[in-house]
Amino acid sequence: MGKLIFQFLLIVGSFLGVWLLLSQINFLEGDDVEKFAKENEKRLGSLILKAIKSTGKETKSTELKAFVDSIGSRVCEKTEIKFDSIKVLIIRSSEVNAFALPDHHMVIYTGLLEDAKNPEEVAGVIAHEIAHMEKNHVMKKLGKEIGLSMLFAIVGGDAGGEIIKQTAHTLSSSAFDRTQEQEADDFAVDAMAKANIDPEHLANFLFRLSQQGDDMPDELVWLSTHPDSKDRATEILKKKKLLKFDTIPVLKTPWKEVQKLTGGSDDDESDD
Amino acid sequence: MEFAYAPNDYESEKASNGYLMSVVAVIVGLPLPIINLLATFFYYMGNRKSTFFVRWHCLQALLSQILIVAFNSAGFYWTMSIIFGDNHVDNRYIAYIITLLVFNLIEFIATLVAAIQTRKGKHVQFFFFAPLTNLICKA
Repeated sequence: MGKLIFQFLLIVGSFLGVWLLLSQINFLEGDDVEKFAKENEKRLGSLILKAIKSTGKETKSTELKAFVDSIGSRVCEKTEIKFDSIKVLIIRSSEVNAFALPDHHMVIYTGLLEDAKNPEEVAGVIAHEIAHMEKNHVMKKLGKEIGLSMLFAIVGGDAGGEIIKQTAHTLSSSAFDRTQEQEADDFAVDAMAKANIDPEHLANFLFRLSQQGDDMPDELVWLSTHPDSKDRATEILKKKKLLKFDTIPVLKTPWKEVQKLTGGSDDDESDD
Repeated sequence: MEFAYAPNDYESEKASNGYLMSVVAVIVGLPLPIINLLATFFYYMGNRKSTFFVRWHCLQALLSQILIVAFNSAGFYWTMSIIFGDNHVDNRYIAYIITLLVFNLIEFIATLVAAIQTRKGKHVQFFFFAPLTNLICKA
């Protein structure tokens, strides 16, 4: 009987072994988007960033930037990601939105900072967006929505400013697919728990946004780009129960004080 | 290893057909992984009162399908979840399909060899499945 079990384990083991070994091969290496991303992501990122900056809505408040950096660094502290490598741009706008750009750029709208009830909610959103960067969702989305030939035209300088703006608009206002959102949520929950931030704050943010959505659909862009918010909030709460963490506040400064630095959003802001 | 007695030509043919049943069913039943299992199962059921040599080989042919059917079913379910669900093709999936192809090919060749040898009256014993058959099939 022992010999029989050994032989059974040998067959199953060899199957799993072959599978595991073959899994190490990157069969999708020839994937055009991946290849494009490796060679051109930096240039594409800087072109899109330039287009966003050209609107002149970037906040000048270094203090606000420092607070956001502090929140980002905290949520990344126990992950392999260095928040210093992520370039954050804060834009004055009443839109509740944040999104990732190619080459580790992240855009956060002051509307999101104003809507958040505490810095922990912002930490959750930042962690979620970092996951989209780390898992290469951004380039995959661009490949799908804009098309590879158009992306080549952009980095080659053959596309006009309007097309670059359109590309930026795609990143800021269209949704990732459900699997990618799920991956980003999973990453955010883990990163938050490791940094001793309660992941429930991200769930609260999603849940509140989904409830506000009916009253102010135009402002809550992050909601439209992150669908199924209620279901995802429920999933986050389920995952949270499986994790052990302490709860340490992200900022010592009262959140209301930080929010004052946003200057009430939009073009009429007088920063610094 | 020799069998307890020398099977006659009729027995060899019937036993050999047990293996051929799964080979033919694989060709007909692709991509549904359950067809070959069902074919060998019904062939075994039809011959369970036959001579020991026939029963033994029909049972080995049946048992040798079970593991590969389990692996194939997982691959089938995975493929369906990619086509109709939220899953997408990744390296792990491609690796699994290649592994499936390799193991199915090994199983296909082994079954074919067994069918030929059994037809000649030889007692072919598969790794793992022969001792398992010995446990279940009594003279």
